[in-house]
Formats: sequence, C-alpha cells, structure tokens
Amino acid sequence: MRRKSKHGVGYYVGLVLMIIGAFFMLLPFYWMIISSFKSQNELLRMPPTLYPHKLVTMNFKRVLDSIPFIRYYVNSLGTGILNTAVGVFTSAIIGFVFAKYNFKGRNTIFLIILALIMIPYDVLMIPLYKLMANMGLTNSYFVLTVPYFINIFGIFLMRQFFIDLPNDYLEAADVDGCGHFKRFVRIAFPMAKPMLAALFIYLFMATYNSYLWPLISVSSRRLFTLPVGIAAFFSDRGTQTDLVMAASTMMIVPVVIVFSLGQKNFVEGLTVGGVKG
Amino acid sequence: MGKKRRRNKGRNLFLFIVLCPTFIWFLIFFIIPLISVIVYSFTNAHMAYSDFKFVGLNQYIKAFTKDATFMISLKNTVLASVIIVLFTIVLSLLLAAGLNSLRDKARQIFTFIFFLPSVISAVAISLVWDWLYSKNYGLFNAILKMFGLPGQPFLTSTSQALICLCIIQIWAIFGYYAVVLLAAMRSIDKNMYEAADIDGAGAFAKFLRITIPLIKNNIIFVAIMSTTVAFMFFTPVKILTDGTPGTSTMVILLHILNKGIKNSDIGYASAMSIILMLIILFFSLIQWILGRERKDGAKHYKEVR
Repeated sequence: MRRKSKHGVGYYVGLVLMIIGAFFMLLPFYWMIISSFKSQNELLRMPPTLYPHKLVTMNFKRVLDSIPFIRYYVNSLGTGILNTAVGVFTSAIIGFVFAKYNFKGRNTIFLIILALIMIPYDVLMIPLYKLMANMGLTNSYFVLTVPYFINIFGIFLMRQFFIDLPNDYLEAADVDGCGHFKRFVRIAFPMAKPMLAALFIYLFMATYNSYLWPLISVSSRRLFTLPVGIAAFFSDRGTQTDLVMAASTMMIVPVVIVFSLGQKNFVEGLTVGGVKG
Repeated sequence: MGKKRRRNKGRNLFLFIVLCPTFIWFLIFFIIPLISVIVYSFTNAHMAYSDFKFVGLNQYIKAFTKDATFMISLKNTVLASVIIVLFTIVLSLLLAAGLNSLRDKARQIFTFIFFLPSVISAVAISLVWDWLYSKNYGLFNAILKMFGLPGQPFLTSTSQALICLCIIQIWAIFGYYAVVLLAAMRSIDKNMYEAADIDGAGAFAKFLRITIPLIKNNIIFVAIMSTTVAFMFFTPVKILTDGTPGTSTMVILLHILNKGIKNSDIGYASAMSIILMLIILFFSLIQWILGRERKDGAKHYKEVR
C-alpha cells in the first residue's frame, strides 16, 4: 500500500528531527576524516577550521613510518577473513544439524547453547587467558583465530533459516544418493546465500573490531591487530591528533566499504535475532 | 534393508563429524572457562602459580567490605547503565517510528547513517570523540564559545567524564536497536492501523496504543541487550580515561581486568566476575519471564529423511 504525499505536520517535524539526528551521526566521522587531512598547526587553531584549508596527505605516510601499521592491517584483515570464513561455515553446518536432524538430546543441547549466549563472554576472558597461557598458546595466531571459529549467534541465525527451509528440497537430493555432507554443501549451503552474506558481514565486523581479547592475549607488537595497535599508538602519542585521526581513518575504511556494499542484506539478516528471538 | 543401514551409518558419521569438534570447541572456550571462573572465585588463584588454596567466601567478602574501588565501580556502572539503557530505548523507539514513516529509498539512506556507528570499531569511535571533547581544541568547546558559553572540561572533570562516556556509548549503539525495532514495526499487520483510522485516532495515539503494545517483546529484547552492553561498558573508558579523573569513571569490567590481568589476582577478579554475571543474569531472567509466551513453531521440528 503506497501513501500519496498527504503527510501531516507530524511527518515533517519527524523528518526535520531525523535530518538533525543524521547530522550528529555523521559529524564524528566527518571530523575524523577532515582532521586526518589537516596539519598539526591547523588542528590546534581555535575556532577550528570546518574543512582542511591546506590539504595534508603526509599524515598517512607518517603513521606508516612510525608504527608497523601495515603489519597490523595484515593481521586484522588476515585473521578477520579466516575467522569469518570458518565462522560462516561452522554456523551453517551446526545450525543445519540442529534444524534438520533429530538426534538424542538435541533440544537440551541447543537450549544449553542458547543459555550460553546470555553469559557475558568478557568475564570468561581471564580464566580463558590462564588456560591458554598454561597451554603455551598466548601470544600466537592461535588465540587470534580459533576462539572466533564458532559463533553462537551465527548458529542460532542459521538454525532459524534452515528450520524454515522445506524438507522436500533436501529429500529430493537424497533420492539421488547424495551423501549427508555433500547434500549440505551442494544443496543447503547455497540456498542460505542471502543469510550467509549477512552473517559474513556480521562476523567480519565482530572479529575486525575485536579489542578486549587481543588486548589481553597478545603482547608482542608483531601480532597486534588494528584496534590494539592503534589504541597503543594513542596512549604513546595521544597529543599527535593528526596522526591518531589518520590512523583511525585508515582503520575504518575497509569496514565502511564492506558495510556499504552489503548494507541491505546485512541489516535485514541481523534483525532476525531480535524479531524472532 | 542394507541401503537403509548404510544411509543411517552415513547420517551418524555426519553428525559425529559436525558435533564432535563443536563439543570440543565449546568445552575449551566456554565450559572450562565458565567452570574455572566459578571455582577460582572461592580460591586465592594467581596468574603465575598453578596451585591454589580454597578460601571460601573470602573473595566475595573482600569485594563488599575491603575494596572501596569495587563499590565505586559498581555504583558508576549502575549509574552508567541506567543512563545508557533509558536513552537507548527512548531514542531507538523514536528513530524506529521515524524510519517507519519514510518511503523505501529515504528509509534505506537514513538506516545506513544511523546504523553506521554499530559497525565501526569502538577504538576508532573513542579516539574521534576524545578529539571532539578536547578541552582546549575540541569542536564541542568551540561551539560553546561561539554561543558565548564557557568551555567545559568534559573528560577531565570528575562530574562530567562518566556522562560524556555514556553519550559515546548511546551514540554508538542506539541505531542498531532502532533497526531491530523497525523490523518489528514493519511486521505489524496494516489492518490494525486501518481500524484505528476509522475510529479517528491520531498518529501519536496509534503509536502509543497499537505499535508499542505489539512490539512489547522486542522492546524488552532491546532493554536486556542494552543492559548487558551497558554493564560490560569498557572500550571508551579504557582508552579515554582508564577510570580517571580520580575513580569517577572506574567501571566494573575495567576494575575486574585491572585486578585479574594487571595484578594477576585471578581469585579476586573471578569473584567480582561472578557478581557481575549474577547481576546480568538477573536481568536476563526478567526478560525470559516477561517474554515466555512466545513459542517456536513446533511443527517445523520434523526430521529430514
């Protein structure tokens, strides 16, 4: 049903409020980006200039010179892509099993997994750190990857999707003598594509932006990811706002690109948990 | 017969291959840490030593009687949570209603803008807000001065710092919850509103009498999720103030990590973790009770052959 442009006053008041709101949402991003193109001199001007009067691109190069930024980038993107790929696959296959197979104790196990989502994971990080330290695994790529390989929200999301998928599709494949694993990979997995795209973005953001666990579990700069590396840079050189803003800008670019490309799918997929849950 | 048995064998093997590694992963990364944090909270466990002594409830008693910082951090966390949760619910409801009144294209653009902070690293967000709040060169003080108002100390003031950090958190998360509520609003049957139109109800009355009751469960979901997020308030605090000035922004998770990681006092950190977990579980339980009438479609549970 389409409403023709017969809007009341309330509609326009709401619209104006939303435009003002949108301005405040974008302001910090605008300020971050223009600050990264200003010289230290211009940054300290009061009142501040609303756009860089003299465009400075040296800030980015100076960040690269003063910290192993590329290294952090590679660590973040590499672990991010690996964790996301594995996470999408495990979410799909575990969700599939819980949705389509009736094994003993299934409902109990699934309830336990759902209950675990209620546990604030941050407080488990100290005993997990001790466990990893005892096994000699801290300060390695192991702690930056394996803990991210399974995601409860992802399992929940994919189970929900596969429950709604009619059995007929899968049973037709079985007649042809398709193995269980093959059937999952060839039939079920491709059908879940839109949901998997949303999950991919969600998991990528979660690991790319992850701060607390890498902060605790990794101490060698060689293994720093962007959030940890940039936070450390800020505590060393917090007064050099030009460099801090340049580093932040470089950090958020991949996420903004991924999010812009997959926005529609992503936003819809993510809300499933909130609406159906 | 033989074919069926072979298929059954294949099915069991498939389930085993999927569920076995899953179980091991959960054991290492969830169950063992969870049991450890409970056990450690009754001990004097230390990061550097592998043996520990049971000390009963001493760690819990210490938290409530000997550690003034713990009580301060608890008070700060509760205060921050109240501010964050209230504003997040109100703002996300208003925004969802606003987005719902827009046409497709405009709604998509506004959703993108308000959702954006939810996908950006909290570290990057904290750093730019620090610059906006800067006492001498920040944009906010420049705007205040433009209107002839006195500049504010923001993050360096004991009375303002916690509120300033809460504003960052609210700004960062409310767009996400608005989208959750928007999805709920869009699934409401349009006929509900048409009946109200015939009765001549205004837009505000419709929102209050129809929309809100129908998405009650989703609002509860948002309340609980944002409560959990607020109680785990950490990143902006750690990066921007680290609990300072004084202990005015010391929040509970920061205190736990300072004790557990910096001071290696795992026993004590675990006891505080349990207290925090119990507070959060208490709120989750409330949600579970309030939202219990929801049922999953049981008809879907038929096994695939």
